[in-house]
Amino acid sequence: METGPMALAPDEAHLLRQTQSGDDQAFELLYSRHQPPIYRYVLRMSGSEAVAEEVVQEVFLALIHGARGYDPSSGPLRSYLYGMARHALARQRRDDWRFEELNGDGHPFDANPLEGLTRAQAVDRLRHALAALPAHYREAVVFCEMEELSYADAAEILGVPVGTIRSRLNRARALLLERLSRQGVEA
Amino acid sequence: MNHDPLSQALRALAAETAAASAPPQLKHNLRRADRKSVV
Repeated sequence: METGPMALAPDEAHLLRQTQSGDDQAFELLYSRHQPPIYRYVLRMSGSEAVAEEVVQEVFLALIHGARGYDPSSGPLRSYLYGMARHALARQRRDDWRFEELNGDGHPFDANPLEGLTRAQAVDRLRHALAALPAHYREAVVFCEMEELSYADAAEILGVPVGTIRSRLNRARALLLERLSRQGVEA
Repeated sequence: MNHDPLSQALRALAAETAAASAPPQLKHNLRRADRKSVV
């Protein structure tokens, strides 16, 4: 039985109905279950606590006020909430959702640009490199590497095939290594 | 779980926000907004 944060919760349609009828306890349960991962997702995507708070507020207000468009038979509530958070985030960072290819200039880059750095230096460089990734790639990294979701769970949330998650993650890692190598040269 | 340097650094970065959560006041504001909308 799946017991992690992505475990399905068969009682959620009932909790949602109770929440929308003004039941505080039902809201508390849904909020405590879903707010932290939604907040973390937006924080890791945007790098901004203010944006994360704003998006969480928007998502849960929509949930309280009827969660229009949510059909329990089409999937778990968590996918619907991530979907709302993604749309809210995309509205704030519209330009960032363009597709970006690797530059393909043929210049070799360091296979391990983090070598020789302290942990703090490596994390700091990675934070900047991650923030510079196109959103499609960044969210593959956030879901699969940082939240440690399975490819299948990430695919369900994003509404894409598992192979797409795999290829986005591979490309994201290549882009990160390339950007980290450049940072090393420029440092 | 991958153990390559990039994955390890990503997990170290993730650890910085592993316990991140919206401030408690946000939940109170949501409930207050909900009650206002009912009234």
